[in-house]
Amino acid sequence: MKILFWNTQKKPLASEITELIAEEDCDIAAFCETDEKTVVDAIGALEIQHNRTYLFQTTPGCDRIKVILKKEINGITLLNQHKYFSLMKLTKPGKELIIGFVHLPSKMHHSLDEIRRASELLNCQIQEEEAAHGINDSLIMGDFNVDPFEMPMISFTGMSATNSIDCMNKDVITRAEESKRLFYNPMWSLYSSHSERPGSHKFRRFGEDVINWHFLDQVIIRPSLINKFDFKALKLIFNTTSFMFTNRNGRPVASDHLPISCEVEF
Amino acid sequence: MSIWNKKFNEPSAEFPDRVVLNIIEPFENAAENLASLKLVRLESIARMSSNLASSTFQFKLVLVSDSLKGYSFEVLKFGYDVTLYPTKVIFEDDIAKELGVNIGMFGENISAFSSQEEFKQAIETALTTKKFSETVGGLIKVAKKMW
Repeated sequence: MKILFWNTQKKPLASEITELIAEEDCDIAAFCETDEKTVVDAIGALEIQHNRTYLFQTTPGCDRIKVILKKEINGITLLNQHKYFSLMKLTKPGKELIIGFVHLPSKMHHSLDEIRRASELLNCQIQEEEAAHGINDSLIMGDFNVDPFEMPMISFTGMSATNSIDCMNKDVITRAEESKRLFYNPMWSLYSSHSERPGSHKFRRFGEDVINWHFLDQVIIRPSLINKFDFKALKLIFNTTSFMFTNRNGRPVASDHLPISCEVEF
Repeated sequence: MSIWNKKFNEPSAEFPDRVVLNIIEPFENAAENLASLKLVRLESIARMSSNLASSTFQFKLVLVSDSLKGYSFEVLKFGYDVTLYPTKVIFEDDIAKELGVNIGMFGENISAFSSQEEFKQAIETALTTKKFSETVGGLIKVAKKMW
């Protein structure tokens, strides 16, 4: 199952999206800061230019994220829809997977505490859905608007997304009588492969810190998915045949974010 | 003289959850039986993260559909103590924005309604916002496709 996510910065990138999806051959793609028309145009172009049929998945209640699916993907059930995230369940005979797409509040307009609160709501909702449907495997992807090392991602009350693969052995932690399942964050592995420009987004917050490159776009998985996750397939996408998504300095220019894709056995 | 000679009066006001149940009762018909509103009592983890921690009784109002099992959209949460009112309400973010609710420093919006009438009016207003109407409309469209 190949999944793609891109924050398109409110730009009409239907041609870029069309070629990106066709070349990546992803099963599910989600976009944020993207209007419905752009996505629908891309679906039309995929059909006409590439003979690929994708369908638009409406997510009533979550306007910030647009999702499209390969026609062959059956067994999608919408779960909780929230301003900042859209959760859905994928079902195959004998298998179930929760996939979530997120676009959390931006640091430009919100404090880290506000983003941590949104992360907490998201994490609680995922736990609620996992419990309600008896599912262990969840994959959450999107623009978290924080780096993998920031508190909304790593705190117990946030996403609880660890960098320790040992979480495969013990995926529940308990603090003050509250237990939480951990997430594993594979994005840490991209810091070494993108050591010159570690991030999908370049932004400098003058006076606050000295970090230029940010992995705001991330995928996190439940530890039970680690062995089914293809670490080599986790990547930032810099170009398609006809489109460069960065300038000569490596800075994202098509949008201010780069697309990210991953693959999980399902 | 015993201090227990006086009679204890129960408040005449309705429970906030009863108020909400009365408001939402006709909703399913209005939504062509393709969407419904469900009142859920908050327990355990959901209580801890609700921002209504000081309220003894906590509920959330959720939009669901029989045609889309699993779908949910939380419209609001509310909580109250034994005095029933004031009742605290946390609206969905976009609904809160439409209602002009002040946002706290952690991004939370909490409003307190001191009487049954004020609470009833606030819930009715929330259920007539653009965000709520559009979400219900989108849900009905998807639910129809499922039939």
